[in-house]
Amino acid sequence: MIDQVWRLDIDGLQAVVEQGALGARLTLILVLLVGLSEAVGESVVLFLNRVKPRRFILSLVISAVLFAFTYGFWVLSIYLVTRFAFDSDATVVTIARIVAISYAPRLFGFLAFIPFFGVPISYALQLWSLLAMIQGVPVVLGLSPLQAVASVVLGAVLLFVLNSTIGRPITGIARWLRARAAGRPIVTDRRRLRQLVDAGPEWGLQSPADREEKRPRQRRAAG
Amino acid sequence: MLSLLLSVLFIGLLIAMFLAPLEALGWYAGWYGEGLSEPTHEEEPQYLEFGPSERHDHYVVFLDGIAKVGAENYEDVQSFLDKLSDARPATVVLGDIMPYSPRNLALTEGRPLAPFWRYALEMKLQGRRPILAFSINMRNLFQVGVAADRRYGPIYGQGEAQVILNSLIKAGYEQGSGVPITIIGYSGGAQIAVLAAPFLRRALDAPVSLISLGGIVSSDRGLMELHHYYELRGSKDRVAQLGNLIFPGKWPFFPHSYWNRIRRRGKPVRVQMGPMKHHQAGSYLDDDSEIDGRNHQDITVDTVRRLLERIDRDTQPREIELHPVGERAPYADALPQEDVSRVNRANQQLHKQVRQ
Repeated sequence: MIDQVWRLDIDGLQAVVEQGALGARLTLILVLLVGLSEAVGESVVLFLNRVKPRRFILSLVISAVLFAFTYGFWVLSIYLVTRFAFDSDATVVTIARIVAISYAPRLFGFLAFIPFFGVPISYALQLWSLLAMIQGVPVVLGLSPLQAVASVVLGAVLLFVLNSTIGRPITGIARWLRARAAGRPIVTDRRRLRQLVDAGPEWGLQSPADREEKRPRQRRAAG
Repeated sequence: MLSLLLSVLFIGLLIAMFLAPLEALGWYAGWYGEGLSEPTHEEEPQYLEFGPSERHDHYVVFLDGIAKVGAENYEDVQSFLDKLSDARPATVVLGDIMPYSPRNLALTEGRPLAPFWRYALEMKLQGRRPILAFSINMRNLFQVGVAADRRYGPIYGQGEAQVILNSLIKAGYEQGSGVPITIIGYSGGAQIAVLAAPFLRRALDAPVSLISLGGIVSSDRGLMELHHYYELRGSKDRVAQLGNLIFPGKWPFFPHSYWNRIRRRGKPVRVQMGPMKHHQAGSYLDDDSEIDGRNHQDITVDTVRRLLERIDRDTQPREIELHPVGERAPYADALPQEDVSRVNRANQQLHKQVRQ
Protein backbone atom coordinates (compact mmCIF):
# COMPACT_ATOMS: atom_id res chain seq x y z
CA MET A 1 0.00 0.00 0.00
CA ILE A 2 2.84 2.40 0.88
CA ASP A 3 4.39 1.56 -2.45
CA GLN A 4 1.12 2.44 -4.19
CA VAL A 5 1.03 5.77 -2.39
CA TRP A 6 4.65 6.47 -3.34
CA ARG A 7 3.84 5.78 -6.98
CA LEU A 8 0.54 7.68 -6.64
CA ASP A 9 -1.15 4.52 -7.99
CA ILE A 10 -4.69 5.70 -7.53
CA ASP A 11 -6.37 2.62 -9.03
CA GLY A 12 -4.54 0.43 -6.54
CA LEU A 13 -5.47 2.72 -3.68
CA GLN A 14 -9.10 2.76 -4.80
CA ALA A 15 -9.10 -1.02 -4.62
CA VAL A 16 -7.63 -0.89 -1.11
CA VAL A 17 -10.37 1.50 0.04
CA GLU A 18 -13.26 -0.23 -1.69
CA GLN A 19 -12.28 -3.74 -0.64
CA GLY A 20 -11.96 -2.54 2.91
CA ALA A 21 -8.44 -3.97 3.15
CA LEU A 22 -7.56 -1.14 5.47
CA GLY A 23 -9.68 -1.91 8.53
CA ALA A 24 -10.42 0.50 11.35
CA ARG A 25 -7.64 -0.91 13.53
CA LEU A 26 -5.06 -0.76 10.74
CA THR A 27 -6.16 2.79 9.91
CA LEU A 28 -5.67 3.85 13.50
CA ILE A 29 -2.27 2.14 13.74
CA LEU A 30 -1.18 3.82 10.51
CA VAL A 31 -2.26 7.25 11.74
CA LEU A 32 -0.62 6.74 15.15
CA LEU A 33 2.62 5.61 13.52
CA VAL A 34 2.62 8.66 11.26
CA GLY A 35 2.00 10.84 14.32
CA LEU A 36 4.83 9.18 16.22
CA SER A 37 7.19 9.44 13.27
CA GLU A 38 6.48 13.15 12.79
CA ALA A 39 6.84 13.75 16.52
CA VAL A 40 10.32 12.19 16.37
CA GLY A 41 11.12 14.38 13.36
CA GLU A 42 10.11 17.50 15.25
CA SER A 43 11.54 16.43 18.60
CA VAL A 44 14.11 19.22 18.55
CA VAL A 45 11.42 21.28 20.31
CA LEU A 46 11.44 18.82 23.21
CA PHE A 47 15.23 18.99 23.41
CA LEU A 48 15.12 22.78 23.40
CA ASN A 49 12.64 22.64 26.28
CA ARG A 50 15.09 20.35 28.11
CA VAL A 51 12.66 17.51 28.53
CA LYS A 52 14.21 14.52 30.32
CA PRO A 53 14.44 11.12 28.54
CA ARG A 54 11.43 9.37 30.16
CA ARG A 55 9.17 12.35 29.71
CA PHE A 56 10.59 12.75 26.22
CA ILE A 57 9.24 9.35 25.22
CA LEU A 58 5.93 10.04 26.93
CA SER A 59 5.69 13.35 25.05
CA LEU A 60 6.24 11.57 21.75
CA VAL A 61 3.41 9.14 22.52
CA ILE A 62 1.10 11.99 23.54
CA SER A 63 1.98 13.81 20.31
CA ALA A 64 1.05 10.72 18.32
CA VAL A 65 -2.33 10.51 20.07
CA LEU A 66 -2.99 14.21 19.52
CA PHE A 67 -2.05 13.75 15.87
CA ALA A 68 -4.71 11.04 15.63
CA PHE A 69 -7.30 13.48 17.02
CA THR A 70 -6.25 16.14 14.51
CA TYR A 71 -6.61 13.51 11.80
CA GLY A 72 -10.13 12.82 13.04
CA PHE A 73 -11.11 16.48 12.80
CA TRP A 74 -9.49 16.73 9.38
CA VAL A 75 -11.56 13.77 8.15
CA LEU A 76 -14.69 15.31 9.63
CA SER A 77 -13.98 18.64 7.94
CA ILE A 78 -13.51 17.02 4.53
CA TYR A 79 -16.65 14.95 5.09
CA LEU A 80 -18.73 18.04 5.87
CA VAL A 81 -17.41 19.87 2.81
CA THR A 82 -17.96 16.95 0.43
CA ARG A 83 -21.42 16.25 1.82
CA PHE A 84 -22.84 19.77 2.04
CA ALA A 85 -20.86 21.61 -0.67
CA PHE A 86 -20.67 18.87 -3.30
CA ASP A 87 -23.55 16.66 -2.28
CA SER A 88 -21.34 13.58 -2.13
CA ASP A 89 -22.74 10.46 -0.48
CA ALA A 90 -19.33 9.21 0.66
CA THR A 91 -19.26 7.95 4.21
CA VAL A 92 -16.97 9.17 6.95
CA VAL A 93 -15.31 5.74 6.98
CA THR A 94 -14.40 5.99 3.28
CA ILE A 95 -12.94 9.45 3.74
CA ALA A 96 -11.08 8.29 6.86
CA ARG A 97 -9.48 5.50 4.84
CA ILE A 98 -8.41 7.61 1.88
CA VAL A 99 -6.98 10.33 4.14
CA ALA A 100 -5.12 7.72 6.21
CA ILE A 101 -3.72 6.10 3.08
CA SER A 102 -2.57 9.44 1.74
CA TYR A 103 -0.67 9.94 5.01
CA ALA A 104 1.56 6.95 4.19
CA PRO A 105 4.58 8.94 2.89
CA ARG A 106 4.61 10.76 6.20
CA LEU A 107 5.56 7.50 7.90
CA PHE A 108 9.05 8.71 7.04
CA GLY A 109 8.44 11.98 8.88
CA PHE A 110 11.13 11.04 11.40
CA LEU A 111 13.68 11.85 8.70
CA ALA A 112 13.00 15.54 9.40
CA PHE A 113 15.38 15.08 12.33
CA ILE A 114 18.31 14.61 9.93
CA PRO A 115 20.51 17.71 9.95
CA PHE A 116 20.49 20.07 7.00
CA PHE A 117 18.46 17.83 4.67
CA GLY A 118 15.73 17.04 7.18
CA VAL A 119 13.50 20.05 6.59
CA PRO A 120 13.41 19.73 2.77
CA ILE A 121 12.71 16.01 3.16
CA SER A 122 9.84 16.81 5.49
CA TYR A 123 8.35 19.31 3.01
CA ALA A 124 8.69 16.78 0.20
CA LEU A 125 6.87 14.11 2.24
CA GLN A 126 4.03 16.47 3.08
CA LEU A 127 3.70 17.54 -0.54
CA TRP A 128 3.63 13.90 -1.61
CA SER A 129 0.96 13.17 0.94
CA LEU A 130 -1.13 16.12 -0.24
CA LEU A 131 -0.79 15.03 -3.87
CA ALA A 132 -1.90 11.52 -2.93
CA MET A 133 -4.93 12.96 -1.17
CA ILE A 134 -5.86 15.28 -4.03
CA GLN A 135 -5.48 12.44 -6.53
CA GLY A 136 -7.23 9.89 -4.36
CA VAL A 137 -10.25 11.87 -3.16
CA PRO A 138 -11.89 12.45 -6.60
CA VAL A 139 -11.49 8.81 -7.66
CA VAL A 140 -12.77 7.28 -4.46
CA LEU A 141 -15.49 9.83 -3.76
CA GLY A 142 -16.56 10.35 -7.37
CA LEU A 143 -15.76 14.06 -7.48
CA SER A 144 -14.12 16.13 -10.21
CA PRO A 145 -10.42 17.01 -9.68
CA LEU A 146 -11.38 20.64 -9.01
CA GLN A 147 -13.97 19.56 -6.44
CA ALA A 148 -11.34 17.32 -4.83
CA VAL A 149 -8.89 20.22 -4.47
CA ALA A 150 -11.73 22.40 -3.12
CA SER A 151 -12.70 19.66 -0.64
CA VAL A 152 -9.18 19.43 0.72
CA VAL A 153 -8.65 23.22 0.82
CA LEU A 154 -12.08 24.00 2.30
CA GLY A 155 -11.61 21.12 4.71
CA ALA A 156 -8.37 22.74 5.87
CA VAL A 157 -10.09 26.10 6.25
CA LEU A 158 -12.93 24.50 8.19
CA LEU A 159 -10.41 22.72 10.42
CA PHE A 160 -8.70 26.05 11.08
CA VAL A 161 -12.04 27.71 11.89
CA LEU A 162 -13.02 24.83 14.19
CA ASN A 163 -9.63 25.06 15.91
CA SER A 164 -10.03 28.77 16.50
CA THR A 165 -13.60 28.57 17.78
CA ILE A 166 -15.21 25.52 19.33
CA GLY A 167 -11.88 23.67 19.20
CA ARG A 168 -10.15 26.11 21.55
CA PRO A 169 -10.91 24.13 24.70
CA ILE A 170 -9.60 21.02 22.93
CA THR A 171 -6.43 22.90 21.94
CA GLY A 172 -6.11 23.95 25.56
CA ILE A 173 -6.46 20.35 26.71
CA ALA A 174 -3.85 19.30 24.15
CA ARG A 175 -1.45 21.95 25.45
CA TRP A 176 -2.11 20.85 29.01
CA LEU A 177 -1.50 17.23 28.07
CA ARG A 178 1.80 18.10 26.40
CA ALA A 179 2.91 20.07 29.44
CA ARG A 180 1.91 17.22 31.75
CA ALA A 181 3.82 14.70 29.68
CA ALA A 182 6.91 16.90 29.42
CA GLY A 183 6.77 17.98 33.04
CA ARG A 184 6.83 21.65 32.06
CA PRO A 185 5.03 24.04 29.68
CA ILE A 186 6.40 23.50 26.22
CA VAL A 187 7.59 26.53 24.30
CA THR A 188 6.90 26.06 20.62
CA ASP A 189 7.01 29.44 18.88
CA ARG A 190 10.24 30.30 17.11
CA ARG A 191 10.96 33.61 18.84
CA ARG A 192 10.65 32.20 22.34
CA LEU A 193 12.66 29.12 21.40
CA ARG A 194 15.43 31.45 20.25
CA GLN A 195 15.27 33.23 23.61
CA LEU A 196 15.49 29.87 25.36
CA VAL A 197 18.68 29.00 23.51
CA ASP A 198 20.18 32.44 24.14
CA ALA A 199 19.42 32.12 27.85
CA GLY A 200 21.07 28.70 27.60
CA PRO A 201 22.17 26.28 30.27
CA GLU A 202 25.76 27.50 30.20
CA TRP A 203 25.83 30.41 32.57
CA GLY A 204 29.50 31.06 31.78
CA LEU A 205 28.31 32.38 28.44
CA GLN A 206 25.81 34.87 29.75
CA SER A 207 26.73 38.53 29.79
CA PRO A 208 27.94 39.75 33.20
CA ALA A 209 24.68 41.70 33.69
CA ASP A 210 22.52 38.66 32.97
CA ARG A 211 24.68 36.57 35.25
CA GLU A 212 23.86 38.83 38.17
CA GLU A 213 20.14 38.30 37.63
CA LYS A 214 20.02 34.57 37.04
CA ARG A 215 20.99 31.72 39.27
CA PRO A 216 23.50 29.49 37.50
CA ARG A 217 22.33 26.03 36.64
CA GLN A 218 25.28 24.31 38.28
CA ARG A 219 24.57 25.96 41.61
CA ARG A 220 20.91 25.12 41.40
CA ALA A 221 21.75 21.48 40.72
CA ALA A 222 24.24 21.36 43.56
CA GLY A 223 22.01 23.18 46.01
CA MET B 1 25.12 -8.11 -4.48
CA LEU B 2 26.27 -4.60 -5.35
CA SER B 3 22.78 -3.17 -4.87
CA LEU B 4 22.57 -4.88 -1.46
CA LEU B 5 25.91 -3.38 -0.48
CA LEU B 6 24.84 0.07 -1.65
CA SER B 7 21.54 -0.28 0.21
CA VAL B 8 23.33 -1.22 3.44
CA LEU B 9 25.73 1.69 2.95
CA PHE B 10 22.86 4.09 2.28
CA ILE B 11 20.89 2.94 5.33
CA GLY B 12 24.05 3.11 7.45
CA LEU B 13 24.68 6.69 6.36
CA LEU B 14 21.03 7.56 7.00
CA ILE B 15 21.26 6.18 10.55
CA ALA B 16 24.54 8.03 11.16
CA MET B 17 22.99 11.28 9.92
CA PHE B 18 19.88 10.67 12.00
CA LEU B 19 21.93 10.20 15.16
CA ALA B 20 24.32 13.09 14.46
CA PRO B 21 22.35 15.84 16.30
CA LEU B 22 21.91 13.73 19.45
CA GLU B 23 25.18 14.75 21.10
CA ALA B 24 24.50 18.48 20.81
CA LEU B 25 20.81 18.17 21.68
CA GLY B 26 21.42 15.72 24.52
CA TRP B 27 24.07 18.02 25.94
CA TYR B 28 21.71 20.99 25.77
CA ALA B 29 18.84 19.07 27.34
CA GLY B 30 21.10 17.97 30.20
CA TRP B 31 20.93 14.28 29.32
CA TYR B 32 24.65 13.93 29.99
CA GLY B 33 24.38 15.37 33.50
CA GLU B 34 24.46 18.86 34.91
CA GLY B 35 28.21 19.49 35.03
CA LEU B 36 28.12 20.71 31.49
CA SER B 37 30.66 23.49 31.60
CA GLU B 38 33.25 21.56 33.53
CA PRO B 39 36.56 21.86 31.66
CA THR B 40 38.11 18.65 30.50
CA HIS B 41 41.69 19.82 30.99
CA GLU B 42 43.20 19.03 34.32
CA GLU B 43 46.14 21.42 34.35
CA GLU B 44 46.28 24.38 36.72
CA PRO B 45 45.30 27.74 35.26
CA GLN B 46 48.37 29.55 34.03
CA TYR B 47 48.21 33.17 35.11
CA LEU B 48 51.89 33.83 34.68
CA GLU B 49 51.56 37.08 32.88
CA PHE B 50 50.40 40.06 34.94
CA GLY B 51 49.92 43.78 34.56
CA PRO B 52 49.22 45.67 31.35
CA SER B 53 52.79 45.50 30.07
CA GLU B 54 53.05 41.75 30.53
CA ARG B 55 49.64 40.84 29.35
CA HIS B 56 49.10 38.74 26.25
CA ASP B 57 48.05 40.94 23.36
CA HIS B 58 45.93 38.44 21.48
CA TYR B 59 44.35 35.02 21.91
CA VAL B 60 44.18 32.73 18.91
CA VAL B 61 41.98 29.64 18.91
CA PHE B 62 42.52 27.07 16.19
CA LEU B 63 39.54 24.93 15.19
CA ASP B 64 40.70 22.10 12.99
CA GLY B 65 38.98 20.53 10.00
CA ILE B 66 36.85 17.40 9.95
CA ALA B 67 39.76 14.99 10.36
CA LYS B 68 40.13 16.03 14.01
CA VAL B 69 39.60 13.29 16.63
CA GLY B 70 40.45 14.94 19.96
CA ALA B 71 42.67 17.39 21.80
CA GLU B 72 45.84 16.21 20.09
CA ASN B 73 46.75 17.68 16.74
CA TYR B 74 48.04 16.10 13.58
CA GLU B 75 51.68 16.79 12.82
CA ASP B 76 51.08 19.48 10.19
CA VAL B 77 48.59 21.32 12.41
CA GLN B 78 50.89 21.24 15.43
CA SER B 79 53.81 22.46 13.34
CA PHE B 80 51.65 25.32 12.04
CA LEU B 81 50.57 26.29 15.56
CA ASP B 82 54.14 26.15 16.86
CA LYS B 83 55.37 28.38 14.06
CA LEU B 84 52.53 30.82 14.60
CA SER B 85 53.27 30.90 18.31
CA ASP B 86 56.95 31.59 17.59
CA ALA B 87 56.03 34.35 15.18
CA ARG B 88 53.77 35.99 17.79
CA PRO B 89 55.50 35.60 21.18
CA ALA B 90 52.95 37.74 23.03
CA THR B 91 50.00 35.82 21.61
CA VAL B 92 48.46 32.75 23.20
CA VAL B 93 47.75 30.10 20.57
CA LEU B 94 45.27 27.39 21.58
CA GLY B 95 44.79 24.28 19.49
CA ASP B 96 43.41 21.75 21.93
CA ILE B 97 39.71 22.06 21.15
CA MET B 98 37.60 19.34 19.56
CA PRO B 99 35.25 21.40 17.39
CA TYR B 100 33.01 18.47 16.52
CA SER B 101 31.81 17.72 20.01
CA PRO B 102 29.89 20.29 22.06
CA ARG B 103 31.15 18.36 25.08
CA ASN B 104 34.78 18.62 23.87
CA LEU B 105 34.90 14.85 24.05
CA ALA B 106 37.45 13.11 21.86
CA LEU B 107 36.11 10.44 19.53
CA THR B 108 38.52 7.95 21.05
CA GLU B 109 37.42 8.32 24.68
CA GLY B 110 34.26 7.82 26.70
CA ARG B 111 32.02 6.92 23.80
CA PRO B 112 30.35 3.61 22.93
CA LEU B 113 32.15 3.63 19.57
CA ALA B 114 35.50 4.78 21.01
CA PRO B 115 37.31 1.49 20.15
CA PHE B 116 36.13 1.81 16.55
CA TRP B 117 37.36 5.43 16.33
CA ARG B 118 40.70 4.44 17.87
CA TYR B 119 41.11 1.78 15.20
CA ALA B 120 40.05 4.20 12.45
CA LEU B 121 42.59 6.75 13.73
CA GLU B 122 45.30 4.12 13.77
CA MET B 123 44.51 3.25 10.16
CA LYS B 124 44.46 6.93 9.24
CA LEU B 125 47.86 7.56 10.78
CA GLN B 126 49.28 4.49 9.03
CA GLY B 127 47.70 5.46 5.73
CA ARG B 128 45.82 2.16 5.51
CA ARG B 129 42.16 1.30 4.83
CA PRO B 130 41.24 4.72 3.46
CA ILE B 131 37.47 4.14 3.59
CA LEU B 132 37.60 3.20 7.26
CA ALA B 133 39.91 6.13 8.01
CA PHE B 134 37.56 8.42 6.11
CA SER B 135 34.73 7.45 8.48
CA ILE B 136 36.23 9.95 10.96
CA ASN B 137 35.80 12.69 8.38
CA MET B 138 32.26 11.52 7.62
CA ARG B 139 31.31 11.54 11.27
CA ASN B 140 32.64 15.06 11.71
CA LEU B 141 31.11 16.17 8.43
CA PHE B 142 27.69 15.21 9.80
CA GLN B 143 28.48 17.37 12.84
CA VAL B 144 29.15 20.28 10.47
CA GLY B 145 25.73 19.46 9.00
CA VAL B 146 24.24 19.73 12.49
CA ALA B 147 26.04 23.05 12.97
CA ALA B 148 24.78 24.35 9.62
CA ASP B 149 21.17 23.42 10.42
CA ARG B 150 19.25 26.44 11.64
CA ARG B 151 17.39 24.32 14.19
CA TYR B 152 20.51 22.88 15.81
CA GLY B 153 23.16 25.50 15.02
CA PRO B 154 22.54 27.87 17.97
CA ILE B 155 22.71 24.96 20.43
CA TYR B 156 25.87 23.64 18.88
CA GLY B 157 27.41 27.11 18.88
CA GLN B 158 26.64 27.56 22.54
CA GLY B 159 28.30 24.27 23.45
CA GLU B 160 31.43 25.03 21.47
CA ALA B 161 31.54 28.59 22.80
CA GLN B 162 31.60 27.23 26.34
CA VAL B 163 34.40 24.84 25.39
CA ILE B 164 36.40 27.71 23.85
CA LEU B 165 35.62 29.94 26.83
CA ASN B 166 36.93 27.32 29.25
CA SER B 167 40.09 26.94 27.21
CA LEU B 168 40.64 30.72 27.03
CA ILE B 169 40.16 31.25 30.75
CA LYS B 170 42.43 28.38 31.62
CA ALA B 171 45.04 30.00 29.38
CA GLY B 172 44.75 33.19 31.41
CA TYR B 173 42.22 35.24 29.46
CA GLU B 174 40.88 38.09 31.61
CA GLN B 175 37.20 38.74 31.09
CA GLY B 176 36.49 42.39 30.34
CA SER B 177 40.09 43.01 29.25
CA GLY B 178 39.03 43.55 25.65
CA VAL B 179 41.99 41.50 24.46
CA PRO B 180 41.05 40.41 20.93
CA ILE B 181 40.20 36.80 20.21
CA THR B 182 40.73 35.41 16.75
CA ILE B 183 39.50 32.01 15.73
CA ILE B 184 41.29 30.30 12.89
CA GLY B 185 38.73 27.95 11.42
CA TYR B 186 40.08 25.33 9.09
CA SER B 187 37.45 23.83 6.76
CA GLY B 188 34.41 22.86 8.89
CA GLY B 189 36.05 24.53 11.90
CA ALA B 190 35.10 27.90 10.37
CA GLN B 191 31.41 26.99 10.61
CA ILE B 192 31.82 26.16 14.29
CA ALA B 193 33.66 29.45 14.82
CA VAL B 194 30.80 31.45 13.29
CA LEU B 195 28.29 29.73 15.57
CA ALA B 196 30.35 30.26 18.72
CA ALA B 197 31.28 33.90 18.00
CA PRO B 198 28.08 35.63 19.27
CA PHE B 199 28.16 33.74 22.58
CA LEU B 200 31.88 34.39 23.09
CA ARG B 201 31.55 38.05 22.27
CA ARG B 202 28.72 38.47 24.75
CA ALA B 203 30.40 36.49 27.51
CA LEU B 204 33.84 38.06 27.21
CA ASP B 205 32.91 41.52 25.97
CA ALA B 206 35.75 41.30 23.48
CA PRO B 207 36.13 41.53 19.71
CA VAL B 208 35.96 38.11 18.10
CA SER B 209 37.40 37.72 14.60
CA LEU B 210 37.61 34.83 12.19
CA ILE B 211 40.39 33.79 9.85
CA SER B 212 38.91 31.10 7.69
CA LEU B 213 41.36 28.65 6.21
CA GLY B 214 39.53 27.11 3.29
CA GLY B 215 36.49 27.42 5.54
CA ILE B 216 33.02 26.03 4.92
CA VAL B 217 30.56 28.53 6.35
CA SER B 218 26.78 28.72 6.12
CA SER B 219 24.77 31.92 6.20
CA ASP B 220 24.44 32.13 9.98
CA ARG B 221 23.62 35.12 12.17
CA GLY B 222 27.04 34.71 13.85
CA LEU B 223 28.56 36.26 10.72
CA MET B 224 27.09 39.59 11.79
CA GLU B 225 28.99 39.47 15.08
CA LEU B 226 32.47 38.97 13.67
CA HIS B 227 34.78 41.91 14.21
CA HIS B 228 37.04 40.95 11.32
CA TYR B 229 36.52 38.15 8.86
CA TYR B 230 39.31 37.05 6.54
CA GLU B 231 38.90 34.19 4.14
CA LEU B 232 42.11 32.50 3.03
CA ARG B 233 41.45 30.62 -0.15
CA GLY B 234 43.70 28.56 -2.43
CA SER B 235 42.88 28.53 -6.11
CA LYS B 236 42.90 24.71 -6.08
CA ASP B 237 40.63 24.43 -3.04
CA ARG B 238 37.57 22.80 -4.60
CA VAL B 239 36.03 21.90 -1.23
CA ALA B 240 35.78 25.51 -0.10
CA GLN B 241 34.32 26.46 -3.48
CA LEU B 242 31.67 23.80 -3.01
CA GLY B 243 30.83 25.39 0.34
CA ASN B 244 29.47 28.43 -1.46
CA LEU B 245 27.14 26.31 -3.55
CA ILE B 246 25.54 24.02 -0.99
CA PHE B 247 24.20 26.74 1.31
CA PRO B 248 21.18 28.50 -0.23
CA GLY B 249 21.76 31.52 2.04
CA LYS B 250 24.95 32.20 0.10
CA TRP B 251 23.19 32.32 -3.25
CA PRO B 252 22.66 35.80 -4.68
CA PHE B 253 18.86 35.24 -4.86
CA PHE B 254 18.52 35.92 -1.14
CA PRO B 255 19.77 39.49 -0.65
CA HIS B 256 18.64 39.57 2.99
CA SER B 257 20.55 36.48 4.06
CA TYR B 258 23.26 37.06 6.67
CA TRP B 259 25.93 36.15 4.15
CA ASN B 260 24.73 38.64 1.54
CA ARG B 261 24.33 41.31 4.23
CA ILE B 262 27.95 41.01 5.37
CA ARG B 263 29.05 40.93 1.76
CA ARG B 264 27.54 44.38 1.31
CA ARG B 265 29.61 45.48 4.33
CA GLY B 266 32.79 44.33 2.62
CA LYS B 267 33.19 41.02 4.46
CA PRO B 268 34.75 38.60 4.24
CA VAL B 269 38.05 39.97 3.00
CA ARG B 270 39.30 37.30 0.61
CA VAL B 271 43.02 36.53 0.74
CA GLN B 272 44.25 34.61 -2.30
CA MET B 273 46.75 31.97 -1.24
CA GLY B 274 47.93 30.87 -4.66
CA PRO B 275 47.58 27.31 -5.96
CA MET B 276 46.91 25.65 -2.61
CA LYS B 277 44.53 22.72 -2.08
CA HIS B 278 42.06 22.04 0.69
CA HIS B 279 43.79 19.07 2.26
CA GLN B 280 46.65 16.54 2.03
CA ALA B 281 49.57 17.24 -0.33
CA GLY B 282 49.51 20.82 -1.54
CA SER B 283 47.26 22.01 1.28
CA TYR B 284 47.53 25.22 3.29
CA LEU B 285 49.53 23.41 6.00
CA ASP B 286 51.72 21.26 3.77
CA ASP B 287 55.41 21.97 4.42
CA ASP B 288 56.62 19.92 1.45
CA SER B 289 54.85 21.79 -1.35
CA GLU B 290 56.33 25.13 -2.33
CA ILE B 291 55.36 28.31 -4.11
CA ASP B 292 58.25 30.53 -5.24
CA GLY B 293 60.68 28.71 -2.96
CA ARG B 294 58.56 28.97 0.21
CA ASN B 295 56.57 26.07 1.58
CA HIS B 296 52.79 26.35 1.93
CA GLN B 297 52.85 26.16 5.70
CA ASP B 298 55.29 29.06 6.04
CA ILE B 299 53.23 31.15 3.63
CA THR B 300 50.08 30.43 5.66
CA VAL B 301 51.81 31.22 8.96
CA ASP B 302 53.12 34.49 7.55
CA THR B 303 49.73 35.44 6.12
CA VAL B 304 47.96 34.71 9.40
CA ARG B 305 50.63 36.65 11.33
CA ARG B 306 50.10 39.71 9.15
CA LEU B 307 46.33 39.46 9.48
CA LEU B 308 46.64 39.24 13.26
CA GLU B 309 48.74 42.41 13.18
CA ARG B 310 46.04 44.10 11.17
CA ILE B 311 43.40 43.01 13.71
CA ASP B 312 45.68 44.26 16.51
CA ARG B 313 45.83 47.71 14.97
CA ASP B 314 42.07 47.92 15.09
CA THR B 315 41.53 46.66 18.63
CA GLN B 316 42.84 48.18 21.82
CA PRO B 317 42.80 46.09 24.99
CA ARG B 318 41.39 47.80 28.05
CA GLU B 319 43.34 48.29 31.27
CA ILE B 320 42.63 45.74 34.00
CA GLU B 321 43.10 46.46 37.65
CA LEU B 322 44.46 44.03 40.18
CA HIS B 323 41.68 42.53 42.26
CA PRO B 324 42.19 42.74 46.01
CA VAL B 325 42.84 39.38 47.63
CA GLY B 326 39.62 37.78 48.78
CA GLU B 327 37.46 39.38 46.12
CA ARG B 328 36.22 37.32 43.26
CA ALA B 329 37.94 38.10 40.00
CA PRO B 330 35.44 39.16 37.31
CA TYR B 331 36.26 36.14 35.21
CA ALA B 332 35.62 33.85 38.15
CA ASP B 333 31.92 34.01 37.36
CA ALA B 334 32.61 32.50 34.00
CA LEU B 335 34.23 29.47 35.55
CA PRO B 336 32.43 26.46 36.92
CA GLN B 337 32.20 26.32 40.67
CA GLU B 338 34.84 23.64 41.03
CA ASP B 339 37.45 25.95 39.57
CA VAL B 340 36.71 29.15 41.43
CA SER B 341 38.79 28.20 44.45
CA ARG B 342 41.70 27.42 42.15
CA VAL B 343 41.33 30.80 40.46
CA ASN B 344 41.33 32.56 43.83
CA ARG B 345 44.43 30.64 44.85
CA ALA B 346 46.13 31.62 41.60
CA ASN B 347 45.08 35.22 42.16
CA GLN B 348 46.66 35.25 45.61
CA GLN B 349 49.90 33.84 44.24
CA LEU B 350 49.96 36.60 41.68
CA HIS B 351 49.57 39.20 44.38
CA LYS B 352 52.55 37.71 46.13
CA GLN B 353 54.60 37.79 42.93
CA VAL B 354 53.73 41.42 42.28
CA ARG B 355 54.61 42.54 45.80
CA GLN B 356 57.93 40.71 45.93
